[in-house]
Amino acid sequence: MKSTATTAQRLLLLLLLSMLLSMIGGISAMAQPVGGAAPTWSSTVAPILYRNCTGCHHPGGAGPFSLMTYADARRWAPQVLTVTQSRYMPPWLPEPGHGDFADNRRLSPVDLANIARWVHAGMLEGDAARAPQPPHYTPDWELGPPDLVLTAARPLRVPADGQDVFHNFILPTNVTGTRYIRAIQILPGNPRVVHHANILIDRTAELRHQHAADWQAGIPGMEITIGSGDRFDPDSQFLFWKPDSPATVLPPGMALRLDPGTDLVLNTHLKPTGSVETVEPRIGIYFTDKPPTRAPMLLQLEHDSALDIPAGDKHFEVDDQFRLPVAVNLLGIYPHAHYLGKQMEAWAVQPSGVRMSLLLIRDWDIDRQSVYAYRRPLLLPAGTVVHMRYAYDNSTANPRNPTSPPVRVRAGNRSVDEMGHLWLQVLPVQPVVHAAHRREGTRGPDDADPRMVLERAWMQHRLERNPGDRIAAYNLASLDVMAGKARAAIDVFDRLAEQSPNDARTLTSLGAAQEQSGDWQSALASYQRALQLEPTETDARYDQASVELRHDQAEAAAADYRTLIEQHSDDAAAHGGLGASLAQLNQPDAARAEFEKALALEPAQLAALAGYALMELAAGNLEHARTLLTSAVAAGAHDTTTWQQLAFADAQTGRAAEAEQALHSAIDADPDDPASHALLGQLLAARGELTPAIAEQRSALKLNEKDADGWSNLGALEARAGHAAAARQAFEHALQLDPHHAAARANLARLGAALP
Amino acid sequence: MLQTTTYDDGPTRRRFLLLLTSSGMCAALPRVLAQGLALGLDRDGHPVMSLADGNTRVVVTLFVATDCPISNRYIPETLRLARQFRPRGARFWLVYPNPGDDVAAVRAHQARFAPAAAQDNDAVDTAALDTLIAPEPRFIQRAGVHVTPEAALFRAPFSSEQTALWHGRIDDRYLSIGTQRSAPTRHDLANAIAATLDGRDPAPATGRPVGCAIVPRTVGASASTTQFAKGSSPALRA
Repeated sequence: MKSTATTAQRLLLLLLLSMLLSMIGGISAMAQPVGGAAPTWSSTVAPILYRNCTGCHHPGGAGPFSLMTYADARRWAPQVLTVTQSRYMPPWLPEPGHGDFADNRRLSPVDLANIARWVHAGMLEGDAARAPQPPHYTPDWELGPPDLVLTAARPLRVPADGQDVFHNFILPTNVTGTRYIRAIQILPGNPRVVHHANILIDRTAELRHQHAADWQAGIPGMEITIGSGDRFDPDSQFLFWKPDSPATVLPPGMALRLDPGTDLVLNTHLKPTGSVETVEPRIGIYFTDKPPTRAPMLLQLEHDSALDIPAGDKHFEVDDQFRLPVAVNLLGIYPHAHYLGKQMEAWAVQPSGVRMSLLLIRDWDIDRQSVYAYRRPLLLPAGTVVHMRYAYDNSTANPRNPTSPPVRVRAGNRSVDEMGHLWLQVLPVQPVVHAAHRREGTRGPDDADPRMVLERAWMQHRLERNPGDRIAAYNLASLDVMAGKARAAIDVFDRLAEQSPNDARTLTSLGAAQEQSGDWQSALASYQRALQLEPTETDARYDQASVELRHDQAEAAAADYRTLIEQHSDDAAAHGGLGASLAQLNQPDAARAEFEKALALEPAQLAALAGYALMELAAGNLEHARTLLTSAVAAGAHDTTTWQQLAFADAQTGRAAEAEQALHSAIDADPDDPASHALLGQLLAARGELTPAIAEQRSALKLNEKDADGWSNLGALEARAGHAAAARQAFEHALQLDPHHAAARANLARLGAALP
Repeated sequence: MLQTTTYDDGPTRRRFLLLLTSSGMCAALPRVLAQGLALGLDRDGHPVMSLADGNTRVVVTLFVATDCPISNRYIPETLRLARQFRPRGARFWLVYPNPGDDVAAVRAHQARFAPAAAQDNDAVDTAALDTLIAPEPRFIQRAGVHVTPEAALFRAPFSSEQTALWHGRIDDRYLSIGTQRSAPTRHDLANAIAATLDGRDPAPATGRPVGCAIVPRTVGASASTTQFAKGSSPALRA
């Protein structure tokens, strides 16, 4: 609608407008006009709104009202003026000049001045025909129908009034094989209620298992702690949603792995609107068949142990600094505090002394928190020290203070507690070397994965700052277990278990470390203690069953697996374990049924594939065994045992070339396993290739010098090759090790008889 | 055909009739309001003649808007205040001053917020609050309010020419748009109502009300006229 007001009408409108502006107090602070003709909505204001505001402020959007049309803009002009001049809107906390961010939404001084001039001049529409085309917003999946949609099991009712609500929705993914996520979108269901949300990856469905009876209702809480599973797989992406967030499309090569048994947890911050609201979030997932080739990692600076803010303190500071042990590219940054946070600074000092400002926020507001991605990655060389310094206001002058009168505040997860966290998304410059491609000479997993170096340095730093940091101590011990240093880990877990005797998780990890050290009896005792404390502790039950299975306690293992299945009928690994137990108990039909159940639930369930294959190998069903082992390899089982079993099945079904290839893979996976060399030697000997066969057998014996059978086999190979002296020496060596070795004695006798 | 058979100057006559019909709709409201009978409309579209009855000791008007988020956030608090003070003779009105908030919009708004109160076990739902839609502009002026939500108190007996005894914010939860406390520390409206019911003058309002500016009605386009023109008024049907 074009403006057709008469002069008298315009005067009256201006008078009313002037009155309104003075009412809301925004007029005196407005920027100076930039000169020229009065701006109109069509020529000047609509482009600003479309570029910066309508992402939320469109019908059905998260904004409380629409700004899509001239009528909308005119209706809300006083508010638009106020909140843009105060820089409350668009929500953007970082100060300019402190980090170059990809999605900077700070309005330019020219935009601010133009909005002010437009309001002053009577909010003219201008030539509507020349207005830009309004942007189109889809209320649904912006990348098209997702490959997988997860919906909250039960909607959440948000009260009409009261404090903000922090709630975690648990969303099982139910994938049946490992998938890779290339994009993900959160549809909160009610964007006016959901203030922000964050996806956590619960790789062991820990929360669901902890709340087995009522996980569908979700769990309350501002922040939660979940285990990371049994492999090193640190969080790598900020899966953060705020009202105008688009779908998260992960950068090339950075797909997220999603394994069977993984849940997503949607951590939400909800704001009452005055009406009872219902929230039923959905998450849409888009898969790719390309595994990740780049592995970023999230690191955190914090000093929560120093957060002890006296009541009334207007400026309380905490800081932290962390020296990067490896070179990284800094991709993004996420500052976080609760309601007392005031000023946040982050910067880096390179070894050369160069200082880089990473972020500055002068007026922290949890309601407008966000993740900030750098427009270009920032290279931080090894030795760079990253700093954070946060200031807090716990006085009555802080209107956001959740407690009145103020009280002493310490670190914690509740909204009345505080936090001071700075998360960094870093991509190590040195790529991760996967086990299959690891070169000789590397000492352990730390050498192959720079993220482990970062994790270890990070946890050591936390422990230095706060010797009582249980999570840091726990994670360091877990890293030790991964590096094969079980003894050191046991000491730490023992100490942690003494400090917190009711912590079933620590006892479970203690058991795992004891098991790795070979002390499986102590491991069983630890698992039993954990289960006494938490009878539904899935990991402890599962690990206990695994130990029992490996140590000829198949009855007990079967009972444990049955308990797990009672608690979680869809647990494919438990069905697989039960199958293996029943196979040991010589109940092949029942075992087969359990293996089939496991593979129906999860076709790539490795334990079921391995157990089933072993049973089939023993039963002589070699073709089926081979099929199962091939599936296991395709699903990622690249351990020596699987390769050796596959080689055996190949060899027994007349596939000598495939068998040889499988044994080479077994040797690649673990060059120090003598069995692979010995088997390869046998295979080559069967083909008449005695010289390489002898070499492989000697390699095996180098790795296991006390193998009487191996020496006897070497003797046989040398004899076949016509090397009588070498054969005699090998047989004698076998008899030295085992004077009763019948084959060696018989072969030695035969050799003696054959000699002139 | 009535026009062609009865009147030679049919077209003129028809124009006159049309004008009469049209101007009749416009003229009806000013006539009623001019008589001091209607302050606006209730949620059924009927004219509201007074904000008080014989039992009313203080009239509490809460200026709200269907599309203002801060105003909406205060609905539960408004219901709590009504529950607290109605037994002592306070009569609560939700007043919708904005042009877009017509009868249909207000009914939809209250349908959305009334269940909230019921589910929160609030004894008073929005149906128990009186509603005034499209208030007569001079009433807004006498109330002295500028934003939604903002309250104005009138001492009983109420007259349409009365100026508000007190007007101001409900509490100090909001300091500005975007800056709010987790809970208010000062309950301005509750204090003012209590003082009035106790026979005292309420303390002058402090703190600027925070919310959405009340939208001025464009010249010559009375929202009340629009409402009546939709035929929901008994006055028009008569």
